[in-house]
Amino acid sequence: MKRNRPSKPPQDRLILAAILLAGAVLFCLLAVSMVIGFMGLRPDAVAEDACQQFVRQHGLNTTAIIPAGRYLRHSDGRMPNVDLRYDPRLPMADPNAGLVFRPRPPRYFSSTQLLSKSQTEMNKTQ
Amino acid sequence: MKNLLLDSRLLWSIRDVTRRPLEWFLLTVSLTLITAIPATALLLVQGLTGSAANILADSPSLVIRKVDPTGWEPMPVEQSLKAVGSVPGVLRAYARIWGVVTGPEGPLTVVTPIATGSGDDSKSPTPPQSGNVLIGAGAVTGSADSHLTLSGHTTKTFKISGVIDPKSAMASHDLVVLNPLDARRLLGLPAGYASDIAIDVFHEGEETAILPDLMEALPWPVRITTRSENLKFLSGSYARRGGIIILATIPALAAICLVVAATVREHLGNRFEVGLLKAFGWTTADIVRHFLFRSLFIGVPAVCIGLVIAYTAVFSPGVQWPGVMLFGWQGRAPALQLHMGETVLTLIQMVALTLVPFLIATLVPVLKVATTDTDTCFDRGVL
Repeated sequence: MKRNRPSKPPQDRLILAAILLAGAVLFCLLAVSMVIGFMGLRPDAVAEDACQQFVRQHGLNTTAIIPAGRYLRHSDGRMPNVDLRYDPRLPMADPNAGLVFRPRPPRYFSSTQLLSKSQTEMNKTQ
Repeated sequence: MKNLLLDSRLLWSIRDVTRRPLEWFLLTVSLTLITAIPATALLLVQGLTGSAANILADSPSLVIRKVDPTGWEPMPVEQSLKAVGSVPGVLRAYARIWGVVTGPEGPLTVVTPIATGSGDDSKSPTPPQSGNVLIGAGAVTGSADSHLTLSGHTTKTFKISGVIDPKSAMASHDLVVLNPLDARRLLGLPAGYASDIAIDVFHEGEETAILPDLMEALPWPVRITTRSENLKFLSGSYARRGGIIILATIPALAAICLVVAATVREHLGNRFEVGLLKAFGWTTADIVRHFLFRSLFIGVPAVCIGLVIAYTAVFSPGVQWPGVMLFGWQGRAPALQLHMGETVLTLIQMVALTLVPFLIATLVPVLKVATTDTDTCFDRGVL
């Protein structure tokens, strides 16, 4: 049976469409080959080897991705006021470690200051 | 491929896309962002965890620290090494001297090259001479002064004798390598004491197996960290940080829902166009193919751009933004070169998460409209 529709659609702006299609296909192929090529080159391997050597030589057990002094830098860097004789998965606040937050200076509590002053005066009178 | 490129129906579909450049642009931008943001988060967490696991593959199997109710205490080296050396399964034990001190531009970690104590020092580098210091790239102050003042238990100025290889920045960025004698003075460790004891065992399974023996062998309370615990802790902290980026993907997910909804609505409104094409003699397969080509022409390059952006942002050599944005580095973040193994699966996942819903949202309504009668299309069409 003969097809009764035209074999080709009208050719207006199809050249532009062909260029766009070729560009898109080329871009996608380039992107995929760039990622695959980059993975194949493995530039991370050189850095990892250097890091491994440094870690071995200095007996390190952490990376320097997190800044020094941060809690997260060391896996064993638990809060010092938690008694570490117990399992860290069940941390207990150590009663001997002192207060976490220092008490506020008395100047913030004028009433407390007045009370302590009056007590001092009473003691002196007695 | 040649036939596909020269297929005029395919070109016709692309021409149809170029008829609505604003819609094309907006869909491309939406899909690119929707792909790039979650892909960046996933690749970053994967890269950080993979790098940490690879770098720390040769780290000590166990680290033992002496503790008291207030925290850490220095360990007597000889007594500790003798005690842990008697435990079966201990392959190598050595003392580590390290601590955090204040440098000119923030805290720095002081370390010393390890000495095994068993006479096998062939792999250990020579420690700097007394009064000299070897610094990581992050400890370089930028001034011409070749001296570095460190404040710990005492304050002392050292002569900078060299900079550690920047390739090892992920392990040594803010590290300062000192002579053990200087390090002890700076950290306030008495002679014969160390910060902790590190142990190597033959097999990973032995790490946890010898813990009770080690605790029993040492005459004071200790905290022992295994390598696997350490890695779990690090990967957990990276995942938490990556979770911050993933939070940013919640609007992106909402955006994809909107894109899908808008696409469905747009294609449901295409009844008239579909009816017209059918009246011209297009078959249902032609119409479905036409809309599939249209969606692929918009979707595939957009997803590719998103993946390339994410991949470049995470894996280009020397990236510093994760350090600044996620880990709190101020001005001197380490140049990362993250592990890029096993990323193909993540990329495929991202394609499946973004492109597939977009195609489904396009094709389902078109299929529904294309299988209806031509008259119905014109009856309900929007003129």
